[in-house]
Amino acid sequence: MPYTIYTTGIGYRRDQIPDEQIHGMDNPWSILWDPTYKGKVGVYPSYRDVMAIVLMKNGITDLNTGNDADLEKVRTDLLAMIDAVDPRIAYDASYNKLQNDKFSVTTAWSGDVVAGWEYAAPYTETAYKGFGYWFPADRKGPIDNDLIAIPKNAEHPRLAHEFINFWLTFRHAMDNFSWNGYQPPQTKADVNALTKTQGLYNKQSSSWAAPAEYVAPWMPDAVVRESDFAIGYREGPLSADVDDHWHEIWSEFTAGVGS
Amino acid sequence: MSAPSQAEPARRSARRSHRASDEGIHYSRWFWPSFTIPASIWLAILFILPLYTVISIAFGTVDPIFRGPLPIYEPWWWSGEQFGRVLDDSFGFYRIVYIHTFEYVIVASALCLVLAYTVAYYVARYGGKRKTLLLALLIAPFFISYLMRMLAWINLLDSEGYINKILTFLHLVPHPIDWLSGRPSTVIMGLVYGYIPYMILPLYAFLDRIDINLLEAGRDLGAGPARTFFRVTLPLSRPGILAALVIVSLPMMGDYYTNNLLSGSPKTTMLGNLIDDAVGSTGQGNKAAAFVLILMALVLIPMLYYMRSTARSLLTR
Amino acid sequence: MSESVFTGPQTRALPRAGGGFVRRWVRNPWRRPTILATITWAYLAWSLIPLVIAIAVSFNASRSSSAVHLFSLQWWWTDPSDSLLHDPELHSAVIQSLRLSLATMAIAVPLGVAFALGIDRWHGRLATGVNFVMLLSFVMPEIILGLSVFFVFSFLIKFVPLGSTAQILGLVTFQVSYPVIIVRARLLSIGKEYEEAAMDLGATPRQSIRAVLLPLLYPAIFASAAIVFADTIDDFVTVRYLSGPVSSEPLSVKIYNFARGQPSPAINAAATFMLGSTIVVAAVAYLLYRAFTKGQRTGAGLGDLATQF
Repeated sequence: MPYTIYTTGIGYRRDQIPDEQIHGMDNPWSILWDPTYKGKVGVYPSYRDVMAIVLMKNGITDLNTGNDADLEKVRTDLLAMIDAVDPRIAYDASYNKLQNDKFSVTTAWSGDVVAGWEYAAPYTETAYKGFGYWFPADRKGPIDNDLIAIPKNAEHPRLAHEFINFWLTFRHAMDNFSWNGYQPPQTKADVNALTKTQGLYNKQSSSWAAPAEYVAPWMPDAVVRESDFAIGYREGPLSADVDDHWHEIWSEFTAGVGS
Repeated sequence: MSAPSQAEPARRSARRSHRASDEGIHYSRWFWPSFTIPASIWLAILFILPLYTVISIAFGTVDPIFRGPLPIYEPWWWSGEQFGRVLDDSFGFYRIVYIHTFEYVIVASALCLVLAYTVAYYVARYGGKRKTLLLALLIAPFFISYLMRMLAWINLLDSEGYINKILTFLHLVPHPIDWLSGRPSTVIMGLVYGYIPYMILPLYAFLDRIDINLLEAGRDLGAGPARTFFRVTLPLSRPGILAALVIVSLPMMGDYYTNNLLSGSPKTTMLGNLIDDAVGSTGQGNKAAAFVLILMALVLIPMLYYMRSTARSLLTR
Repeated sequence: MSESVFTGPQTRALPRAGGGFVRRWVRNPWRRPTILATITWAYLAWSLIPLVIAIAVSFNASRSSSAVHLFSLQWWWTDPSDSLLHDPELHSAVIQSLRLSLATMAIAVPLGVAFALGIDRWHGRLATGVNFVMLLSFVMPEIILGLSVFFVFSFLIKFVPLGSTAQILGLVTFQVSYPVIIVRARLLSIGKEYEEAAMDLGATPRQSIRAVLLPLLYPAIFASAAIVFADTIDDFVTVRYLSGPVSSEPLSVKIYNFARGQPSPAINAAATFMLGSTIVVAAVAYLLYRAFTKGQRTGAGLGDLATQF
């Protein structure tokens, strides 16, 4: 059962990279290679998602490619990234390190950035407004969804179904969204209003109460629309040989060789 | 040196009966071996068998559908394909990882040794009335989780942590230093910090056992304290030093978490990271097993050396 | 290694050269171990201050873990959702850590003590082989041991699911050599006299072990129990590879996860709590150790316990 939908784009510090700057770039994906942010570029420890972004940067839209020439480009670019910006590999790149200014640009799942306010310590207005999310305006980028599955040998299948039903309820799904940032595939939700309406979770501290829109107004790119799934590119399973090839390239990157 | 003096009469009478026990009067033949059976079975199933499984996986194949490793248990069917690839890459792009691993482990062990020896020597020779307090403080790090100690350093080294606060306050640096961004020095510091307690105590125990009369003999023969140290104490403590070096370098060789927590940059990847990363990803199980075998081969000689010295110390103390 | 042999340099010091402190120091900096003392205390400060700060952070009123602000019990129990008392995940992690440590201690110590007794008196080729394997398990880097046990449970002994059972089986394998080595060292210093005297007086082998040898071994047994407990509670590598459902992740694994992506000062509270419990176990072991070594001139000091590590 699909329960969250998200895109994979770029998370950035708005105090260092104004919204207009990144949106005005010819190829915003390439910001991950910009030496200006050396030492402050974060990527996920996820070979498929990071390599998908490298493919996007090269204008290759088959995120499951086994083409040697395509993968060679990915390899060259990944190794060039090490030399250019000395990237860090971190799970919390886009929901913690970006928010706390440890990173300036990151590979980012939309939900991570949307929920990131929770980790911005301390909760001040500046911290809250400090980070943004970019995804191609034509919506041609990596998109995906997460699933909940009930294993065949589950001990309490009935309870599991009940839980999924609960999860599918509009109100609970939206409450969860307001807390964890990953958008539920609710057709009832007005996607255009997500940046204007307030969710259940009130982002506040003793000193400052943040407005509690589902998605911050300056991050419209993070809202996922039903139509995006027809436009965007999706990762699928790779054949054993191709997957080995992908792993080999990723290993070279994580071994820190540089080009 | 440790039998209580009031046991003297007992010892004399025991010497007589010792002959009797050698003739096998007291114990049946299988009496003592039977004591070792439970632990031996345990180790056979949960130590030897697992090691064999690792070999079977490293020389096994990959399941074409589920991508998991398919171990091959019969040595005559072993396939060298997976292991060969890892070995090839080890001489290829992974070479830098091995170099880093050795670099960090050697530098960290050396730093550990210098510091640990100094501290252990001071406590053993000059501890005096404070010895118990000093020992308690040296043991203290054992009581707090290794990861917790690393976490403490993450907080201290943070760009807004105390270290940077002090440095900027004293105007020693213009901007906070990004300690946690893939610096080999930070990783080495973390390794030293994490493993040095394991070195100090055995070194202390060793130095404490050195017969003080030997040192005094050196002095009586006219050697100054420095000379006594370099000509008597240091040579005497060589076995202790080697054992202590092995104690810390073995786990450092397989360490991945210190590096992960204090750096996270591909530029400081160590062998342990390769193993841990491979275990976590689909289709990479054989690779993990192959790396484990390579690690085992790399640490074999220090391991055997340490086993020999442990076995020896159990025979003559 | 009895302490009476120890003579500090102060009692044997050669006649001091005249002159001021600086001159004396320049002439022979090693006489009064000023440098050594400075290094030692500097090391202790370096080694302990981070821990003190980590503990202080657990009593911190702010969410920031890089600076200490006000004293608060927020992360211990007052915070309704994220404190140690109220966060079910942390709660179960602490309990899991204690459970694993106690179970490992309960299995590894008897196994190891019996093995030590047996191997000490059993000679021959087979004995050498068995002893070799035991020592090998002692020196094997943990990542090798943890992963191989993980592989064996995934491929060969599949009926053991990953989780508490697998963790305990793996931990015991890793820990069993500690009691063996500690008890053997103690057996060596005891010698065979007592036991043989008992048998001369008519005791059976079993009686002599139970009434004479075991009580003499109690200090070593308590020391190894404390070490196994402390080392298991700290264990991370083996336990992480062998953990199954989230509920089987002990505190060490949680600390790692938190450090990598979910910072919360409550984790410091949890670690401080564990520190407390380890100290209690160690203190009990130490008191028992002292009680059982009373009347024996050797081995009653902390120094002797320290050499067991």
